[in-house]
Amino acid sequence: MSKQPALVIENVTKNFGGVCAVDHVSLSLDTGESTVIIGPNGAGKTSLFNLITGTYLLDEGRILLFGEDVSRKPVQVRSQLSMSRTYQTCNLFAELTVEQNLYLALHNSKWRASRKALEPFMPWFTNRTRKERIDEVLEAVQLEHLRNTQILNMSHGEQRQLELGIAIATDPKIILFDEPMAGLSPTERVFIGELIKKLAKEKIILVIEHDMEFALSITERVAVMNHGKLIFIGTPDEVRASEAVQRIYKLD
Amino acid sequence: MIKSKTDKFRLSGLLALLLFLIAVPMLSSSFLITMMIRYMYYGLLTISFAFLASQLGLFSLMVPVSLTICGYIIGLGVLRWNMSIWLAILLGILGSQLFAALCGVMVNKSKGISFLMLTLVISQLVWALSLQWTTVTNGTTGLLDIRFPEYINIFSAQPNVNQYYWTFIVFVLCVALVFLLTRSSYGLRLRGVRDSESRMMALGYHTSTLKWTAFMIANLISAIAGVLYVYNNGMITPDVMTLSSTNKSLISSILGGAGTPLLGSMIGTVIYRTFDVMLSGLTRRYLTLVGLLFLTVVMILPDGITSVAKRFRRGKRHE
Repeated sequence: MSKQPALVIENVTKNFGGVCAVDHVSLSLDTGESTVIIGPNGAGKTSLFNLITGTYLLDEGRILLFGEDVSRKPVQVRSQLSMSRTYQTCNLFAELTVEQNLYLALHNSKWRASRKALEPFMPWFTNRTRKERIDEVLEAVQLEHLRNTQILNMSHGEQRQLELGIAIATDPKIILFDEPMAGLSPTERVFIGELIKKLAKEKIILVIEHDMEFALSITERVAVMNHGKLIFIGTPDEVRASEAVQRIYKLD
Repeated sequence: MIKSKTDKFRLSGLLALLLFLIAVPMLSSSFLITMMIRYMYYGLLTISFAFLASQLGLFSLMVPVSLTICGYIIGLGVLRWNMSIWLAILLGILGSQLFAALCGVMVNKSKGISFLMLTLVISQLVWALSLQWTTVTNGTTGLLDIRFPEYINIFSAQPNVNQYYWTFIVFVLCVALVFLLTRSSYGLRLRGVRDSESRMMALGYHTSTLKWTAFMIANLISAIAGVLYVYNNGMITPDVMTLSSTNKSLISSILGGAGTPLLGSMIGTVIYRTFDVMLSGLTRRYLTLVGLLFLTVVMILPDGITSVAKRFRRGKRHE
């Protein structure tokens, strides 16, 4: 069991009607194997994420998380296995405050509450265990000054920072980032980029990214997807050299 | 717990309101007492609607269903099966909760317009049943003369003062329950489901259970309103279950502000029911006037009357 890689994806396939969104994809991830997935729009990158987290159920293949077969497990069970994700378009609790968003994020974590059974009935703001963790996370993503701000009053960049905060809140071993840099200003990119690079050293991360330069600076392992298929895995140099990849991207 | 000045202000306001409500029967006419009682049980009905609307974003058109079922079971229990009233009340609440539990399983698969339509269908079914199953429900006449025992009249010799205080006690308990729920971690989870169900699931919450329990709580409040309705009117008829009765809760809630399940509901209910009674005495076209009032409020204050306070507060912060 312990020799199993943290995340194993075997022959995973998903069809939507006649469209094969993810076509027999196999990939494994372990410490030091953080991977960036690149590929054109509609290549099936986000669908693959949804299959890993359990938002979609797969048609074929299997997914092992820390040696446990989770292929048929619902999304709630998988989230207990030390994995978290961010979304391509911000998927936050828009009418709640930053603090409340993070509070909800700590459900499956050791910071849940000192007495788990009583937790749902207690006023949420009296939960000290979570409060301490929320402080730490806010510091990490530099949102302390917005603690009591509603999400809908925040800028896009700040929302992305919070997406990141929610992903790291439970201190998971695996984090899936779905285009974390989309729509950010240059200064915001630097901050979030640094954060993800730091995370890549400590954790296993899988990142979908369009920005090649940034993507290649996070990790040495790049996977290329096109039409639902995983067509190439290799180092940045190998990717640049690959003819198949060049055909998709029409690289010079 | 009490930290800021506003909290202190709110607390003293609440205490003053409670004292006023306790003093009402000593100060006023029996007409006002009757009106206050109506505000309370119809208010609970509005709270039941607004609880789901504000916490989960679900607009249920079957608000009075639990009230009706609970009321009819109490009536049948006392009049037909010669039960003690307390056992009948217990059965009424259990029965309506059982029905709600079944509906909840069906209804929770949907949201938005389909939730609205499904709950509308259920409410119309129950209404048709209460009207047409005459051997059990007595049709339009309803079940009359449901009496509560004399020994509960401990507050005063006047019957309506006793009714007022008992209704008041139950009302305050329900309001306290909803207040605590909205502040609890459970309430926060419901609002999380309202804003993003997919994210809640990804975080590990069983959202269908959360939605189902909230639906049950809303129906429990409606059932309790049913007990109070029967207690105060001594009868139950299909009238409580008509579409216009559902609309009244809906309009009250939107008038007051559906975002605030307690204050908004109560303010909305008091205004709507007062207009209902006052205007119907003046003119036969009172519904037109109520409609005009509703239109005006929705156009000027889309978030209801309670949003005035919010605007005022926001204005102050900008100074």
